[in-house]
Amino acid sequence: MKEEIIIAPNEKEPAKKAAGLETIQSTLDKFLSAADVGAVYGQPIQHGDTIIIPSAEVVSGMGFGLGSGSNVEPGQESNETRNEGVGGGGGGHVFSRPVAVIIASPEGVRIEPVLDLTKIILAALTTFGFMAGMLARMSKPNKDHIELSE
Amino acid sequence: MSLIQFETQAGRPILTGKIIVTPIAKVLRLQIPGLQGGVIWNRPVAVLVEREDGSQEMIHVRDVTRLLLLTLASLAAGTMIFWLLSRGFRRKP
Repeated sequence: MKEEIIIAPNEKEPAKKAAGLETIQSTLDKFLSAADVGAVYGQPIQHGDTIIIPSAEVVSGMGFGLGSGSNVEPGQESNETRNEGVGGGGGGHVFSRPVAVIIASPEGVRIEPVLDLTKIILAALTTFGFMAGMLARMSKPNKDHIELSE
Repeated sequence: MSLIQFETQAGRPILTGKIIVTPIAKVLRLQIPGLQGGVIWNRPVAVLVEREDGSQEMIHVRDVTRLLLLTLASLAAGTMIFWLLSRGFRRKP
């Protein structure tokens, strides 16, 4: 493997980079294709005359990086063994949350919201705790005024 | 390619009885030029209902969970602002 790099370093390096970029590009294309309506609305479920369509919010983020390097400067001849490398990395996250259910029947179409009670209760407890703390601080006498009056 | 892109997409129409339901989604794409990566926020916004008599109705999909969370966040922010203002008034001689 090492000998291959020494024999034809200039031919192998662009090929490696191109392969890496191609992988990144294809992964990025797949990631961008997630921005489709099909990602938000699920497969319709038939139940008698009624059709149920689940819907969700999808948030996805992705990032890549690629780099290469060698111990020889470009255009510089060296008798030493040429060491070089190409590396890359990436990360991503996809988050999905149900939003509502669409119910279509011969009587009409209605939308039932999906409530995330755990999230709402936790947020409410945090908010009311914060508000109670703030109000308690507000009701305390101001130290500056006490010092001045003394 | 621009930094932020908004796009409204209509899905495949679904026929149920005498009603055609078309789901509609809104996509927000965030891509920094020159960087390999980005963020996509895809959410349902409405359904277009087409009836046999030709009438159309747009029914909006409301995200009640988000609405409640935003209300709570606004309450907290309001309390914080009120506390800061009251502290400022108290310090005045």
